[in-house]
Amino acid sequence: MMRGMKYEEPLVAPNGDRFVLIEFGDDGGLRLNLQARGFAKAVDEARIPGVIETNPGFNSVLIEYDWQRIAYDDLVREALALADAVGTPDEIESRLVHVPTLYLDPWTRACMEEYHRTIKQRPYDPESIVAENGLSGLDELVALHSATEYWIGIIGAYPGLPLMRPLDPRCIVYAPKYDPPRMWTPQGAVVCAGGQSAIQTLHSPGGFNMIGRTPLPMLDPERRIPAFGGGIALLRVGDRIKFDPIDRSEYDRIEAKLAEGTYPFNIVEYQRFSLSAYEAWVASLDAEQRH
Amino acid sequence: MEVLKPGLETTVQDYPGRVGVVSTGYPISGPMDGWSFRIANRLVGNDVSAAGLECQFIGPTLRFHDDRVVAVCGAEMPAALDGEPFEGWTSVAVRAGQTVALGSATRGARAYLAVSGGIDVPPFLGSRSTYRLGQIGGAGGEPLKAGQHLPLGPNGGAGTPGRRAAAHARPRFPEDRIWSVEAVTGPREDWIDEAGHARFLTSDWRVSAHSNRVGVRLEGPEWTFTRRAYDKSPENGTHPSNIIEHGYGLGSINLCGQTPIVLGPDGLTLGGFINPYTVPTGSLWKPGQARPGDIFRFRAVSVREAQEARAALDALCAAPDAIEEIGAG
Repeated sequence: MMRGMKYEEPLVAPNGDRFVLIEFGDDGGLRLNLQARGFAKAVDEARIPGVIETNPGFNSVLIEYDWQRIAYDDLVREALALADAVGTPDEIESRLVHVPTLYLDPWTRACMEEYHRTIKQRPYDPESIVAENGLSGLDELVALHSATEYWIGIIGAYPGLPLMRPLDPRCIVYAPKYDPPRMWTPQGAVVCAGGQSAIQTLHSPGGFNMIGRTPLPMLDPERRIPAFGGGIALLRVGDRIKFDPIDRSEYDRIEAKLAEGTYPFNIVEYQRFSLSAYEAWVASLDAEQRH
Repeated sequence: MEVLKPGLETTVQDYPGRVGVVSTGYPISGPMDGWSFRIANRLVGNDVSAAGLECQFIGPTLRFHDDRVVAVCGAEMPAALDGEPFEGWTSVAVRAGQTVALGSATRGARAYLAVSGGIDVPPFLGSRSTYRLGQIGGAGGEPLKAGQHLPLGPNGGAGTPGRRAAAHARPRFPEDRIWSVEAVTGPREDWIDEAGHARFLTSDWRVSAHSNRVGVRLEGPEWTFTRRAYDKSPENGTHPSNIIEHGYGLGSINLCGQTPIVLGPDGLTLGGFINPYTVPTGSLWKPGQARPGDIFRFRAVSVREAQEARAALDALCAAPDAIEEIGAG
């Protein structure tokens, strides 16, 4: 079986009459993510006539095309040739973005209480994660979640929403998703499920467990905030995130500074990320220490 | 154009919507029934892409401040000009000061109101389509509200009243509310076992009341899976329908646990559930016009058949003979 690895040949499958899905492997590791990201970039830059756009997943890329300009078989042949040529980039530019976070905040707690009351009974999310992962308590959950950098592997589902994995494997916490999903989630909620974390960019439905909230805006449709560099979303694929725990008074101070446009976003721009150095570091970690 | 009554959920949409920005996480948006939408624009002399109104179940009441031509296509929704009923699928002259009122849909779910000159709200990322969750596009990112004034594009003398859509240019809604819906197999059909595929293609799927522009939810029999759905790395998630997050094409039949959802124009751009089938572009108007309680019966078509069906629909929406003069037919 192809479990937990890169496929010898990418898996290619039509998604209806105008999309094709190209998947590079079965695992959620960074190697496949960098391959998918590099491949999507190569397809975009190749400007193949008939290709409309690319939508990168964690280890796959969905391509939209116009079959009257490029036949399915021709598209697949050209795409696979590009995938071969690109391979997996070893080093890429990667910003480090600090995200101040009020863990165990009152807004996500109120949202959980409403779900508990109106949809389905459920323990408080942070407590169920503590139990699920055999942690000593809420303090250990906060310490563990904020101890590592996170890798943004994809942006999407909702506008600008970052899906990320902890770079330090000792900091992974597992949590099952909501079933059924919540009807709404506070904007800025820091959420996690299945070893991944995310930041909710909109007041939108969601299925991940909520453990905190950041006052930082994730989206700026009017492109007014200079720290967004002219973009609509604060975060990009390949950025790393560090959640910095803050208290309620700091949260309120940051919110006030954001409102008056004087908040100094902390984005470290000069770094590069080396896949081989990262993999060597992970391999060197004592397996016993892993959570 | 002034909104006197907003209707149930009336939004500004253009065709085809927000293209080329999916990697930012913004969905395509645009009309759920792009067929009726394009014909409505043709009737009033607009380009098929021009922004118009999508009126869900209960339509709006609008007062016009200058002379325009309007057409109502899609769902059967009673329409009146200053209280005088007029037919759908026809172009009608509206004078300054007159009021157009739409009622409740009697068949289908969404009526489209096109106005000569189009609705001239500011575009966002290349489109005027409303994306309600993201609060962008349309009239302030929201459905219409009473008292709003919507800017209209230059009329330019375009728009001829007294036209109608030819019979062959109108989608047919089934009398018995049982829809035959095309489905292309894949991309992740290998996670569903033979019995699961047989059930998908032979069962009645009931359209749930929890359906909207994000997705049309279906209720039906249980799905069963192959070993592939269980034999996977832990990052995929525990449920057999869970997979590592990947891009979702518009129209994907997204299997959320045991609930299939036909992803609509405001749907998620990616996610962690498999898509065993996809409703192709030429058939997307069907989930767009289905009402809660309607029945879907799926029919497998090849990628090639689906591509040709889309091309045929595009040709039909652009054909000169789609629009005829009343009295000439």
